[in-house]
Amino acid sequence: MKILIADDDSVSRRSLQGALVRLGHEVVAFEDGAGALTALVEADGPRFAILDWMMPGMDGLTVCQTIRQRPGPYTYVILLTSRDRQADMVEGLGAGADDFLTKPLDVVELRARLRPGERIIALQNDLIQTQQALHHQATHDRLTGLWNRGRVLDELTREASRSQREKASCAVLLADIDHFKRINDAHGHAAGDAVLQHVGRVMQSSLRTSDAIGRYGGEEFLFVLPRADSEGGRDVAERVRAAVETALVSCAAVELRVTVSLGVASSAACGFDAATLVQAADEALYRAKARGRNCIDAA
Amino acid sequence: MRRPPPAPLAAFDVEALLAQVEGDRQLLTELVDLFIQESPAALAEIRRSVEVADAPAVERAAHKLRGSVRNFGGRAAGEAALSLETLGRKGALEGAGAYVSSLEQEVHRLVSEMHHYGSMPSS
Repeated sequence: MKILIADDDSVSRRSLQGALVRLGHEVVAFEDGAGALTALVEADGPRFAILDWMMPGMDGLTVCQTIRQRPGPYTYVILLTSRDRQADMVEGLGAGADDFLTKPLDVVELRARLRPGERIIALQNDLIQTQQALHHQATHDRLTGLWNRGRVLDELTREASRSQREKASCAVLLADIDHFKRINDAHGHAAGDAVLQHVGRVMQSSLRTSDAIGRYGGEEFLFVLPRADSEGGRDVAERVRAAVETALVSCAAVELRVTVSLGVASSAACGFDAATLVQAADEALYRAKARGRNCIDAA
Repeated sequence: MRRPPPAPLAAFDVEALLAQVEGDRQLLTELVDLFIQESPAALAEIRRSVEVADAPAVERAAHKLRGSVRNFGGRAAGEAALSLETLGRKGALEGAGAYVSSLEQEVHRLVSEMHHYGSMPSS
């Protein structure tokens, strides 16, 4: 575990550092509170701190109070004191300290007091990982790994109002795999799934990094293109169409050629309302399909 | 003014300290070197702060040195430093000079015992 220590006395600091390193921890050491605070509030800063209470400048108590007022992951704090008085303990706990260690350092006590902190940090890490996994599940399409419908629509709503605010343009594409039902019927649903994954990958890799893509429905994909006018939207749509047409899907010993049709809607033509943009792209897509597929149309 | 009694025992107990660092001789040597290197400035800071009657500085400097000596046992030096720290906190530096002398004496004794340890074979 990465542990931050702060003590203005170099002998005590080195002694504590030595004890922690012997226990297999990674130690970052500071000689004042201000330096410790800067490191602790970093996004990937240490989640475990052992702070000397009395230090010149910012003391350990103030560091503790300051990090407790911030949102974000929990930092377990042990205060080092050279007094063992009830009044200090009450004040320290009030400032948000989790535990105390009395100086001079006793390694047996140190080891014992590390354990509750390690448990709390481990619990927190589990919780963060679970939250991240749930968040990923809630925003991504399981099959293609792309954003799901809800997430890409949120992105469109955000991007449309941002563009409107900044008097910029944006565009929406709706893509649909041509004759997808035939693929499913002829080669089975596993092949259909492989096609969806393949087309998703090909389309994503033909985008700029600022562009967003999500799986909108069965075989439909929605694109959000910031700072794109009608022509820019058409260019991207044509690039996507050509990329899909060129790339063959290998699936269960057969190579399939897959094509997509795309509808384009830009804020210049349709305004900044997300639902209106999607509706216009859908109508353009319908026209492209009617024209014979593997082509694009714009609102 | 009652002077603190001189400590009758050796200030520097190598065996106890080695146990405290779990047998890490290299670390103990490093800690000793740090103390030998830094304690003169710490003592000078305390004496200067007493002379200019800067009570908060006396408290801070004495507290820091107390933390340092307590890593080596240094009970007598620690007590002298604690007295200075308390006087500093109370802002009452009358009689602090005697504690400074006592602290200097104890720290010097600790340092000379450390030098003795440093000249011993390291196993």
